[in-house]
Amino acid sequence: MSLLAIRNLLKTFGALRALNDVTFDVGEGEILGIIGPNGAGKTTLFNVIVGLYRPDGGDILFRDKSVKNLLPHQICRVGITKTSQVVHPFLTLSVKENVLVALMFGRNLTKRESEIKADEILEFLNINDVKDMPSTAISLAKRRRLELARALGTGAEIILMDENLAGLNPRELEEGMEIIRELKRKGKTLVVVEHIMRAIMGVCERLIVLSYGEKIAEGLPIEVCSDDTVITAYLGEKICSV
Amino acid sequence: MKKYGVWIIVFVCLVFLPLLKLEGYYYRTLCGILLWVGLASAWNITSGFTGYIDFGAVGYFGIGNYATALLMTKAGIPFFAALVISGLISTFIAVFIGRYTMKLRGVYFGIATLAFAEAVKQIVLEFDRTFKVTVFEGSHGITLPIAHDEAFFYYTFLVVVAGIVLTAFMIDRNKFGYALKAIKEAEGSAELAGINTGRYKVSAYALTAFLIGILGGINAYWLTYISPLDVFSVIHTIHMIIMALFGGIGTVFGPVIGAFVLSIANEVIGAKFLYTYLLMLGVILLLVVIFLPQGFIGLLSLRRFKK
Repeated sequence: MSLLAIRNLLKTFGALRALNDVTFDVGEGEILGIIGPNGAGKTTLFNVIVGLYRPDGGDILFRDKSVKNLLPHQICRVGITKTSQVVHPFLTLSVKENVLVALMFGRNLTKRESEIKADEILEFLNINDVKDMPSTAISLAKRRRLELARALGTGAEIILMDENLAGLNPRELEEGMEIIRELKRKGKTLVVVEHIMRAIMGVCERLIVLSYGEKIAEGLPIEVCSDDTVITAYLGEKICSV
Repeated sequence: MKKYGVWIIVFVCLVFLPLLKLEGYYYRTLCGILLWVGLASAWNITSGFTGYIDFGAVGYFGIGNYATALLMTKAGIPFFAALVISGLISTFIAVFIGRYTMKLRGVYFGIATLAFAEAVKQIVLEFDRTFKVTVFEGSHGITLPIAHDEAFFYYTFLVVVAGIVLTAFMIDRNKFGYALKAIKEAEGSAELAGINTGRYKVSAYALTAFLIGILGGINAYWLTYISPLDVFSVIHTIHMIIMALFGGIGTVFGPVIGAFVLSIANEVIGAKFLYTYLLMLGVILLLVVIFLPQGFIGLLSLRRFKK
């Protein structure tokens, strides 16, 4: 049984079909990668899944129950959240308070219970050193980590990661990849949108390719990136061989 | 606790102030200051914490005034009972209005709430003439019974206003307050973190309306005469906004300081420079907004994160 099932999803903006008949499954505990050129609909897909956009057709099933008519906070409680590509922390709150908010509301905990859990999460993501700083004052890499900390705070089973590794230096990237693997070991299910092929190939077990709102390929990473359609639409050159 | 000791001392001093056998004028000035501290603090709960700048807060002030006046004069309900009912009527209306206006953002929320307050004023003003009845008494206004001395109103204001500031103080640290602040900073992220933003926004708005409605009720009994053009005047809303901005919007004690300083300024400078006072106030406010965007309190606390 798949944990999350996307069925014939359709999203239009005026005449543009941002998502056209997209269907795929995400298995429990899986790391699924989504790649594709800019404007392919990757972020739109995430926004529709978490309820920020209403789909114009199709269905989204979480544990076989439709969640397509729920609001974002309800979907979060059900078990799906995302980290945003453009980070939007709660600026005047400290790093730790940002995570507290996610814990208190995502898991419905009291403030005191959340304090302990927040420390654990910050420790795990290795941003404990900046926990009392305002979220405006930390580096981009740490802000991205904070975005992930908030997602973990909500306790959601599925985390959709929208370019969480973009703009990082090689060492930070390596750390980020290790965290993703560690999250899988902890039982999280992850859907990763990323342009950095090294990261995608390094962590994902399965890949989906979107182009102009349609799914053009799906399969093991090694298969997908040697697929001629994918090379024409996105990769541009052969980056790996079977 | 040490940090807030000064506020406890202020409160205790205010409790014992009447022992000085004050003249009527000082009582009235003090009541006026307390009223504004309460209004600015109550306004700040919605607008300061969630960032939705409410331009129609005076609507609930007027509703509180009229509800108390009508309940006391037409239904013969005692003052404190009338006060509570007025607060609840205010809340009820706010839940209805908030459900729709709180879906708007920024300046559109401001316009909608401003329109709400003006609409209520017009209804109170024209209802009787339109339907040939005598309920609100139109522009004649309503006269309330005179029954109590200045000390009675002073203590009523003091208890209610202290309650409002304490409410704001608690919200600033509890879960409810975190939801409001998260909404202010990034409403989308707040939703993604599991916050039912719609419900929290309307709750804050309704709470503000409840508190302002109660203050309106006391105001009616205190002044003994109210009319729509007075109690629904948009200038009251503007005062609340300016006071909160001046002291420090979104903080607990900013609106308290802002309301205190500007009420005194109004009383002292306003009396001496009748014609140039508003001009001076405007200049001061401009300077505050430009150089102290966090308000006066920003000077005192020097930001919470400074190390």
